[in-house]
Formats: sequence, C-alpha cells, structure tokens
Amino acid sequence: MFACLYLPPSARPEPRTGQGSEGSGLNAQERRRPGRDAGTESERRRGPASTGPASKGPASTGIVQLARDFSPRVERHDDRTVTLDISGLGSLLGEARVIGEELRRTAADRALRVHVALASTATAAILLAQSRAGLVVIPPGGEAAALAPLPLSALEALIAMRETAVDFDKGLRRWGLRTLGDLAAIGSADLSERLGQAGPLWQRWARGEDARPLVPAGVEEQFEESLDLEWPIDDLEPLSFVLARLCEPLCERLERRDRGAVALHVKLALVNKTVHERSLQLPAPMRDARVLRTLVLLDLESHPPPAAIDRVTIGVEVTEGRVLQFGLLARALPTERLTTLLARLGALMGSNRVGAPALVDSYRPGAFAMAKFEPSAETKGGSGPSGRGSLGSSGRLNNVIRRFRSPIPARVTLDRRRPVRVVTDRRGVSGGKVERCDGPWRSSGEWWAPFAECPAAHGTHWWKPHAPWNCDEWDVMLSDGAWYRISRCIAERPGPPTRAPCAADAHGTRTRQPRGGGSEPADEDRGQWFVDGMLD
Amino acid sequence: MSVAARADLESLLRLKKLDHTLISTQPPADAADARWVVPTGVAELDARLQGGIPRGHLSELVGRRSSGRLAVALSALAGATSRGEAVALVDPLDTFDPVSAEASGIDFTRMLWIRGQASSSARVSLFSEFGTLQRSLDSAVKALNLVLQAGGFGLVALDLAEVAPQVLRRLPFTTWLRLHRVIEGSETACVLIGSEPLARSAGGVTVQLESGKARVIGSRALEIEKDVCVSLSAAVC
Repeated sequence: MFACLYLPPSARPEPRTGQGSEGSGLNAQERRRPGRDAGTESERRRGPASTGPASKGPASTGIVQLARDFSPRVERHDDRTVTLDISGLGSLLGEARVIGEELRRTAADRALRVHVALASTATAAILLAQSRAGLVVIPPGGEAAALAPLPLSALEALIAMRETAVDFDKGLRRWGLRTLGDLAAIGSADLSERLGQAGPLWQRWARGEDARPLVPAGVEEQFEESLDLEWPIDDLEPLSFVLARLCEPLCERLERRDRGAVALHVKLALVNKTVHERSLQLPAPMRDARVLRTLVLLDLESHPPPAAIDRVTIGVEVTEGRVLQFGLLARALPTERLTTLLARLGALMGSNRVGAPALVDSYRPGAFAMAKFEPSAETKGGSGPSGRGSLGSSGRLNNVIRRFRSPIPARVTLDRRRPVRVVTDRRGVSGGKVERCDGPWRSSGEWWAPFAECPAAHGTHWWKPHAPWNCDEWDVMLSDGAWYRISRCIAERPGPPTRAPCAADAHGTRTRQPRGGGSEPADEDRGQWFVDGMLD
Repeated sequence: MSVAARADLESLLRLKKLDHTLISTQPPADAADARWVVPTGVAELDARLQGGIPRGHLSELVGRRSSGRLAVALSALAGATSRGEAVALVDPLDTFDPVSAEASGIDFTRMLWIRGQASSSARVSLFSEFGTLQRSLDSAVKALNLVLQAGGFGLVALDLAEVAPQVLRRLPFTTWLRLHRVIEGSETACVLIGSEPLARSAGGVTVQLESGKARVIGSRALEIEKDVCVSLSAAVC
C-alpha cells in the first residue's frame, strides 16, 4: 500500500495552531523509533554540502519530513510530490482511511495543506493526489476505475515528472482521447506501433500499474558522538581519553561508510551552563582517530574552555573517502601527519607564525605575507632534473638580507651626501666606518594616504600597512667586513610619480637616485636613519 | 689494529646502537646521487662535499656575517624545492626576508617557514633581551624537533647565525645529540646556520665560509668568490 503527499502550487504554509510543530499524531512508541528520529534530524540538518538530492525549499522539506515520520521508505519525486510505503502501518494505526486521515491531520498541524491519496500502487496514488484535493483512498483492485475519469493532463504531469515533456496535442488528443480511461482502453499493440515503447508504458500508468518499484531515498547518517561526563573535567589531559572514546567509534563509522572528515565541530557543555564551540577545517578528508584527537586537543590547548566540561560532543562533516596513489620514489608527507605537524607548530609558535612565505605586490620594504603551507605534488621543474641551478643567472650566489623586523636606529655621518660612518647603540651591531657603499635606492608609496599616519612623521620606522612611506636605502660595508642595509626615512610626504601614473604605481615605486656631489645637505637629507638588516 | 679486534669493536658499537659513529674513508657508491645528499647548488662546494649535504645527518654552515652562509643555505633549499621536495626553515629571530630570498629560486609553496618571536615586537631589543631570546631559541629547537620527527622534508635549516653565543651555550648538550638521533637514518638533511661550529653528527659536514673576497659589482650584487672563500671541514679527513 502506498500513499502520496502532494503539495499544490497554491498552498502556502499557514500559521501553526494547536499542538505545535512536533505533534505528529503518532503515539509515543512510534515517536521513539530510531529510524524516524534519524530521518527527521537528517532532513533538519541537511546542509549545502549534502550528497543527497538537490536542495529543496522549506515546503518540500516539510512534506518529506512528514513522510519520514510515518515511514522510512520515502521517495521524493519533485519539490511537491512524495510517495511513501505504508505497508506496515496497518497494525499501528488501522485501515487505510485512518492512515490517510492521520496523514492529513499531521500535515494540518504542521501548516501543510496537502493532497493525500492512498492506493495499492504508487502510480495510482500519485495520479490521484495530483488530481484530487483532500483525502482519496482507493481499495486494492480499483485503481483503473478510479483513474479512468481523470483527464490526460494528469498523465502529462506524471510523464513530465519522470521523463521529458510530451506534447499530447500532436498525439493522443488528435486521436480523440480525453481521459485516462480512453487511453487504457486502446490496444497495447496499436499504441506500440504508433508511439513506440512509450505508448504501452503510458497505458500502464493510465491503468494505475507501477512500471518500477518504489526507490526509497537514503537517510543521511549523522556522524556525531556525545558523552556525558560523570565528573566535570577541568584539564586537557583527562579530556584526551574522552576524546579518544569519541573519535574511535566515529572513525570506525567513517571507515565503514568510506567517508572522510573534512571539518570537525567540537561542542563542550560547561559547568557554567555555557557551550564552548570550536570548529576545525581539515585540509583533506581523513579518518584517523589519533590524528583527529590530536588536532582537537591542540586546538583546545590554544583555545581552552573557560570552565570545567560537563559534556563533550564531536560532530564531523564528511565527504567521500580519499583514494591515494603513492609513488615508489617520491618523498611525500602524508596529509594527516602534515596537519598534525602544523597544528603542533601552531600551538607552539602561534598559528600566524607558521606557514609558507608569500610575496606582496608592493615595494614597501620588508613587505611579506604568510600563506598556508600546502606543498603540491607537481614540481615546477625550472632548474632541471638535477635540481641544481639555484644560482643567479650570472652564476653567482644571490644576495640575501636578514631583515630586522624592528629596525635599529642609527646615527649616520654623511660626506658628499654619502654615508661614511654608521653608529648604533645596540650591542652586536655597533657600526663603524663605511668601507664601501652602494645606493641610494629610493622607495616610496601610498602617497595618497594621510601623511599623519606615516611613521616617519613621528620619527619611527614602523611600517604600517596602507601608510605612506618614503625612504632611501643604502648597502654599506662596515669595517667589520659585513654588509648592512641602512635606510633613511624621509620625513616629508612622498609625492606622486612625475611621469604619467600607471597601474604599477599602486604598489609604490623603487628607483635609483642620482648620487649628489655637493657638500651642502639638501632638505631630503634630514631624516632618521635605521639599520634594516644585514646581507648574508 | 687487527681485523678481529676491529670486528669486535664494530659489533660492540652496533650492540650499543652507536654504529652510526663508524666512519669510512670510502664514499658511497654514488655519492652525488640526490638520494643520499642534498646538493647546495654551488658547483665547487658540491664537488668538495662529494655531492652535497648528507641526508640523515646534522650538518653546519658557519661563517662570519656576509660570508654567504644564508645564501648557500637558500641555494640548497631552492634546489630541493625544484626537485619537488618539501623544505623547512626554522627562524628563531624572524629575520628571513622573502623578497630577497625569492631571487634564489625557492618555490615558496614547498617551504615551511617557522618564525620565532624574538625581534617582532617593537620594544624588544635584538641583543639585550636575554630571556626572550632564550625562550625563542627553546621554542625553535622544539619546532625543529617536531619537523624532523614528522619526516617527509628533504632539507630542514635552523638559522642560529644571529643568536648570541651565550644564549646558545645555555642549551643542553644533549639537544643536538637528541636531534641527531631523530634524524638518523631518515631522508632529511638538517643544517644549522651559525657563526661558529656548534654541533654536527658524525656523518655530517661543517662548511666554513669566509667573506674575504666579497666585492660590489653592478646593481648592488654581492659577489662571493666561491672558489677561494669555501674551506671544508668534514668528518672524512
């Protein structure tokens, strides 16, 4: 026996009255059925990453939820039509009409004005539900007679639901057929000759016969584990054992379903009646219990709960399991191990201090960014198969600077506008006579920003993002034989480029300034000097 | 030493798991193979090192400021990333400059950069905040230990060049022995960048770089005369 719920297009959800949203009209024993609860929760929590059917509207979700409350075997045909197998409900609720009335009453409680049809075949139930309002119950064997007066447009809707659209005007209607009974009365051979295989199939539907069995939609499994603690836990070490108890069965279920966790959601119910929630995004699907436990622990070390823990809940968002092809010779770092390593390093050094360096499209001295460390499998191969060739194009080692994130203030003596002596107050960078020098290189940018934000205006060297900068850089070799990079912050507003502005000017400019030959200091020679770093 | 006595000694060392201290005057069958060494990218230096920095051992790149020790290390890192290996740089004082390092050819997507805290704050003096430096160095050593234990990296460098010697001397001597035990037998080469020899394992090498022949040419390029500034001090003598 099948029932069909059809939500007509004109029906709109109504304000809820009476028993409330959870009243299904079933007895308490039925409400506690595991399958029913799981299905309801599944539909309620279906997210955009769901692997099930396409996301439906709230009305569609409502009738599916209603159907699942009555039967675990539910097939959704479209946004408005749902069929359910009610074969086992007779012993619980009674005869078919009682079941139908219970369905209608429950739908009304949930503000759903649906058509309900019950028949011994799913096709007949669908055709009747889409054609007749209210409750229709067809006794077994009476499907063809009940469908006979329905117009052909009812079948048209069913065909459009299951196949492509069909133009009946060019076919059946031109033959003088008006109702499903007319179609059912034609000989199958004649229909097959004129319409091919589709003709007999439509005729079976017009007679209320099923061409295929019900295909129930799978219930999405929720991967979530909870544990109520007998005693509150206020330390992370005992929490490790609790997490292991939760992660291991969770990963076993993931293994059975060939799924991998892509996100972890940890909810800690605390003794102060608050909930401490943490979410972890995993770089790749994984289902190793030890890795998941370690990641959660490391995250909680960095973000500890403010009070003792009463209840622990771990939920995971899943996706299909990974299929990996390992190479014989490649040195690959497994994703699980890399994720754990990054989590440990983040807990030790700070999450913003571990990653891959990244360049910033700016001439601002010392500008850089941190990116996520995700080594790819492909090689760029720019240096040949041997991997040698990191030298510059001239065959020499490239200059590398050790940059002080806190530049050291310095006193620089100039002669003919060139540095001849550098002195600092810092131990280790004492300075000395300038043996050789190269420069200056003028760097400026963000000249359009308010100059009050410029650090040089306050005699400091702290580069602030989106603040104007204007400085000259020199590379000098001091008497100790080491090369240093010194810079002078010019305490005047950097001007726009003298040439026509271009897109590259948005990132600042860097040009070599002509060396002055006079001994009279210019205005731009006044400015604070700093040691930015050393060449090595 | 008789053959029997030598065999007894070697068996005792193996029993105590100290057989890694055994050295041989014969290089491996193909010493220049990248499976056993990490080439530095400097041809003359690699020739002296019989292929490059040995894997599974703790090596050193030492020298004075501007001697090219960081440039050589970055050259080796660049070569490793070009072969598709992941590399790591532990930077206790947070002095690494990605802009100037980019010219070395490093594939940054394969480079794990672990930055310390020492010189990032505006109020911290680089050479006077002893306690801050000590904590930063301890964290860096722990980070290095984690990276080596994880495995999968071709080359890992720890930059101690600007760490004050008195801070380095406060590290327990067992620190380096423990690191050696972690890395032993793995395919990872570990390099310490410092101002003076600090620690290396028995199979590692110490490369002493000198900067006497540096000169300025062209557009701020610092040329290092590699053929005269490199002197090698290796275990194989």
